[in-house]
Amino acid sequence: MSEIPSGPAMPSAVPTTPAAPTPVLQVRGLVKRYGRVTALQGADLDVEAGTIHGLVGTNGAGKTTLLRIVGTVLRADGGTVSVMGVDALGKPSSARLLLGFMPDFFGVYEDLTVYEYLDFFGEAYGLAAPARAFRIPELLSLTHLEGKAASDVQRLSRGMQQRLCLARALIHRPRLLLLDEPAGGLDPRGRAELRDILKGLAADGVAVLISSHILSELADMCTAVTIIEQGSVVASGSVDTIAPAARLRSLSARLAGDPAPWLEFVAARPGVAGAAVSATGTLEIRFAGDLAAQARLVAELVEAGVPLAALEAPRALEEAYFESTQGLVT
Amino acid sequence: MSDSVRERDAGRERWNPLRGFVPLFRRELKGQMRGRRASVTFTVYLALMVVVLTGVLLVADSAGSKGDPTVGQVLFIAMAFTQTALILLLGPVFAAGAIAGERERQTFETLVSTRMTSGGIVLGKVAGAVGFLVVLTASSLPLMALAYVFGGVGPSTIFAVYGWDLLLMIWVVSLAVAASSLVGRTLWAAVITYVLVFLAVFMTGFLEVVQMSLRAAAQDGAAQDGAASLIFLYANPFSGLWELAIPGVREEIGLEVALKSFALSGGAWHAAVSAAALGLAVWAVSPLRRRWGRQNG
Repeated sequence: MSEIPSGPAMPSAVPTTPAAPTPVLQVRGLVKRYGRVTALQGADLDVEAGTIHGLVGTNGAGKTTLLRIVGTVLRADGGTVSVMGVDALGKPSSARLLLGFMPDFFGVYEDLTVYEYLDFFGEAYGLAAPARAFRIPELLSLTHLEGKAASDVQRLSRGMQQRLCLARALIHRPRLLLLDEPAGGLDPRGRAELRDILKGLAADGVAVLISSHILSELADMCTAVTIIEQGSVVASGSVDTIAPAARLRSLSARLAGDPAPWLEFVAARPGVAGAAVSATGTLEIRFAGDLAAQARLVAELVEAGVPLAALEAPRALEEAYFESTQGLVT
Repeated sequence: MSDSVRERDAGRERWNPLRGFVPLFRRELKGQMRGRRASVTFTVYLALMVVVLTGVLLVADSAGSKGDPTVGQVLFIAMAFTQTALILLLGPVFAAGAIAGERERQTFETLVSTRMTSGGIVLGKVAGAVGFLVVLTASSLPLMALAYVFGGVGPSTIFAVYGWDLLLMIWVVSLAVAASSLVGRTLWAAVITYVLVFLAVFMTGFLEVVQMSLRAAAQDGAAQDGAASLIFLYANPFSGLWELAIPGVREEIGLEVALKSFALSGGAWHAAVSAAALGLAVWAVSPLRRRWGRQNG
C-alpha cells in the first residue's frame, strides 16, 4: 500500500516468525462499564485461525459489547484486545485492516448500486482501484449476488442486503470476521447459505467470531464456543470439550410398539439411572455418560431386540449452554 | 494484498488524519445529486432567482429606468442577497443528516469500523454538502451575469460575492455537521442549525441596535466610536456581502476610517466558527472518544 513508509524498516507490532501459533484474536480481562452497570467484567477469549467461534449468551450478557469493542467501534474500560499481535485498543486503525465487522443492526446506502456500495467500502479500506475491480466480482460470486452488481441496494431483499453487508465486511480480506447475530431475519435457505459461506471462509484460514441466540445454528457450524453470562465468560472451548459428559441427561427413545415391556431391561443397562414411558408413548431414559457410552447403550438395545425406531438426545451445545448459564443479565 | 503485506501494514502505518476523505466526498456528492430532492432543489432555486430577476426588471421598467446602469447594480444586489439567503436556508437541509442520518439508518458503525478517520469522515461530509451547494449556486451564474450585461457591476464584484457565499456555505454546513454529530436525529440537527443561523442573522442586528442605544445614552449624544459600536455586525452573514456586493458603500456612508472591513473581519469570524464546529464534529464522530458516563451500546 502507498502508506508504507520508505526508508529503514520500523519496528513491527506483528511478529514475523512466531515461535508458536498465536490465536488470531486474543482478549484478556476485558472490562466495559455503562455508568454503574458493568457489561463486561474481565472477559477472556481466544479465537484461532480457520475456526468458526460461536459467542453464546442471553440478551444483555455482553456479546454485542464484546464484539463492538473488538470491532474497534466502542471504547473499553480495561483489558487488552490483540488481533494478530496488533493492539486493537491502542491502534484501532491498524487493527481495522485485519478485521471485518458486521453489526447486528445495519443499514445500507440505498442511493448506491451494489457495485458502488462495495467499491466505496473498498476505497474506504484503502484498496486501490485495480484491487477493487478484482475483489468485487469475487465477493459477489461468494455471496451469490453475481447478477446484482448494477442493482440499486434498496431493491435487494433483506437476505440479499445481509449478504451484501457480509461482502462489505470481507472486501479487504480480513483475517478475523466479527458477525453479530448475522442470521437474524434470514429465512432457512438464507441461513444455510450463510453457514456454507462461513465454512468456506474458515477453510481459507479466516477466523470467524459469530454471536447468535440460535444454538442449533451455531452447533451446525461452530468449531468452538464461548458462553458468556453477566459479562463474564463461563465456558469456552470446542463444543465437545465444554459439553458436560458425566451428568445425567434425558434420552428420548421412540419404539416400534409398546415400550412398557422393555422398561426393566433398559433400566438395568450401564449408565441408565431410570426409565419411564412418557404421555406421548416415548421411552424417557435418564442416562449418564459420554457419546461413546450412549453408542454402546444403543447397540445393546438393538442387539437385545428392542424395536428402537429413533433416539433423540439434547444437542451438546444446548446442554452446555443451559448447564453453564442461569439466564442472568447485567 | 497478501496477508504478510497486510500484517506488516497493520504494524507500521503512517498516520493520515484525513484518510477516507476522497471516497466519502465522492459518495456524498453522488448521493446528493441523485434522487428527486436534487432536481426539485435546482428547479425551486432557479425559479426563485428568475422571479427576483423578473421582479427587479419589471419595477425598473415601470419606474422608467430603462438603460440606467443602476438597474444592473440593483439587479445584482437583489440576486446576491437572495442567493445568500437561499444558501443559509438550504445548507442545513443538505448537511443536517450528515452524521445523524448515518446513525438513523444504522450505517454509522459500518462507516467508523473502516479505516476512515474521524477527520476524513467529517471533512468528506462537509465537502460533499458544500460541493452540492457550489454546483447549485454555479447554476445561477448565467443569471448573475445578466447584471454585468446591464452594466454597473464588474466581474470582480461578482466573483467576490461568490467567494463570500462559498465561505458562508462552509460556515453553515460546518454548523449543521457539528449539530448532526452531536444529536442523534437529523430533524434536531436541522432545528439547531436554523436557530444558530437565525441568531447570526437577526440577533446580531438586534444586539447592535441595543448596544448603539446604550452607548448613545451613555455618551449623551457624543460622537460614537464606529468600530466598537458595530462589533456584532461582523458576525452577521450579510455584512460582508453588503460590503462586497456594493463596492464603496462604506466610504459612501462615512465608515471607512472607523470600521475594519466587514468582509475581512467577518470572514475571519466565520472561518474561525467553522473551524471550531469542525473540531467539535471530529471529536463527536470518533467512536472511541470518552463519553462522560453516557451509555452507548
